[in-house]
Amino acid sequence: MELLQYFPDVLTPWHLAILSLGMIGGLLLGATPGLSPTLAVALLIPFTFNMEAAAALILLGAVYTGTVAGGAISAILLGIPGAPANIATTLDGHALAKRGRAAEALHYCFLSSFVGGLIGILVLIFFTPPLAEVALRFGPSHLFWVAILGVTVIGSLGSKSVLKGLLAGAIGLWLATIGYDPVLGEERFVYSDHLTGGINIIAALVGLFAIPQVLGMLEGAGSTGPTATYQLESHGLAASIAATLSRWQALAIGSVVGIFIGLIPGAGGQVAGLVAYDQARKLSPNRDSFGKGEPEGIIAAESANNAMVGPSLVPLLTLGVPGSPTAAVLLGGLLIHGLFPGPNLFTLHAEVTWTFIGSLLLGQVLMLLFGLYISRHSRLVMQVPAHYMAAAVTVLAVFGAYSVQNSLSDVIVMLTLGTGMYFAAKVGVSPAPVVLGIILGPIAEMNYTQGKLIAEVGEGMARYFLTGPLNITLIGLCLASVGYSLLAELRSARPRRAQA
Amino acid sequence: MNTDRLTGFGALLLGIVLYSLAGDSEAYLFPRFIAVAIGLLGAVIAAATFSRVLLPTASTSGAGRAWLKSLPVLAVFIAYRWAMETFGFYSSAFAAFLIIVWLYAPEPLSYRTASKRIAISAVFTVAIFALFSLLLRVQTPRGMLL
Repeated sequence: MELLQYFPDVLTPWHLAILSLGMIGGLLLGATPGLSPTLAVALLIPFTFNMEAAAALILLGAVYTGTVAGGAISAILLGIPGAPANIATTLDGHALAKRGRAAEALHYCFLSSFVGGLIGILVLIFFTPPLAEVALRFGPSHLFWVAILGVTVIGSLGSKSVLKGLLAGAIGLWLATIGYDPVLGEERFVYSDHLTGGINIIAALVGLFAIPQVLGMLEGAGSTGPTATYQLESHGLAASIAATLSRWQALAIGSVVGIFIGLIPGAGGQVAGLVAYDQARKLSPNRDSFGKGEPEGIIAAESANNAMVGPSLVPLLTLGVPGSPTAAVLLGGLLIHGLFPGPNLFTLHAEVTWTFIGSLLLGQVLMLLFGLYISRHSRLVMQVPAHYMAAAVTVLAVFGAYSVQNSLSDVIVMLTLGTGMYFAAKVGVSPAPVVLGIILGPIAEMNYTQGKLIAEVGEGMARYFLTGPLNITLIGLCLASVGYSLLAELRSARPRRAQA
Repeated sequence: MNTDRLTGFGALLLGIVLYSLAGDSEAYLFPRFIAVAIGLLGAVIAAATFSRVLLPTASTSGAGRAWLKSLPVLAVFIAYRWAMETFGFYSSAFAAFLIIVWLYAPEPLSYRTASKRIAISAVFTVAIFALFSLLLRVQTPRGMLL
């Protein structure tokens, strides 16, 4: 087997050093609000110009894996997802951290990331050719339904009311329409120069999560003595491993969802964690404790995020079609080093390709080791006084938003959306559905418009969007998701009505 | 008026405003769909409060006027945004960090606490400079200072 033939190349001291450095750097960058995996990989590409191809790809792959896992650190400790992929982790991870169980939450996070990531890379190694064919079958109508499936989980994301969740999601979808129309190129709702480029997802993510956190921290700061807020409990690693493995259903749901969504070109790996979280909640006997620090929520979300990494590279390596925004940036890294994706990549450049895939496999082990080491020191972050933490998050949020496109407009958008979200949270609106709406809006609109154009010259709208096994399966999943959320809402409203 | 009812009517009004702002061209088809959805959801939320299907879920119960404590930091945000262009990214980051800490620190002001706050603000700014300017080579606008 070729992987075994080339795996010793990963173990050379230079490649091991690059891999370790990339992984540690990725974990730390991922934990910085605003520095998403896509941005981190993009920023590092210039550093790889003078490297040999294998070392460059090992570095970029390690940073990709590290930032995806590292984004969960700030999600859990601060309640601010490092990247859109970590939104679902915030819902239960931060709730568990606020109960003094930050180390335990990070254990679940890195253990499930390791399992999901390992499964995803094994899928990449063993099933690349057949999965590439599956990825090719997704056309605009299917991608439209994938986006709608994402929208259907909006209602139950962190909001105490399904209706308010859907409302927040709809506002997010509307925010995504600001700027240029993706097909006709017409300007929409651009009432200020700062909005010409539309709402950047990372700037919105940072603002919607970080600024309300800052303002919330400062509401309670300054009045009463010490500002370290959380009682911390220690938690053994062995107990965390046993607890993670005992929740095998959540691991399985997360891994399968991550693999499936990672494979779909352009669907955006950001939704993998959210869809897995939603499915795990619906199928769990502990569904009522989701959002209050339920370990299954963290396990499903993080295993999905990391299971998505390997499969998102399948269409990239075999067809040159990236499965996620970060994979798209990675494509640039491949091209810079003269590696053109396609079947020839595995024959003409077998040494580089298999060394890269081998490094991703070893990277999962390093991610687990470094991640668990970081978990031991999580108490340091949780004990920082609120006023220092709020000041640090404010400055990091500004720099994180600015560095996405080197644009002051993103900083202004970030601060404005964040302040608005702080007041919206006062009436029970949660930031997660708004961000998901901003992410899914362009995917839904672009594929709807493309599908409409195809349907008008061919089989007609109804036939194009509503027939075929893949369309019908996705529509069925959407209906089941909406139906379940409404039933759950009505069930939970019954005792509240009786009490009132 | 309870907060849910306020949210419902607010969303209904927002949907109407967004629909009226959307132009007639094909480019506004998707935004018009969304505006209708926002208005409908607002109407359903408002109607549900009359039938008591949806009870208050807002997180403000007991929080009252706690948001007033965040007004100084909102002023800092506005000043920070202006200072970034005028004085430069790093000097304004140092000032914003120090002012937020100063405004919200619970300890009484003394020579020792003041020195500590200034030192921590300076160390944090240097760390930010090392990460963004030296390591990631992000080009930040330069003002009068750094």
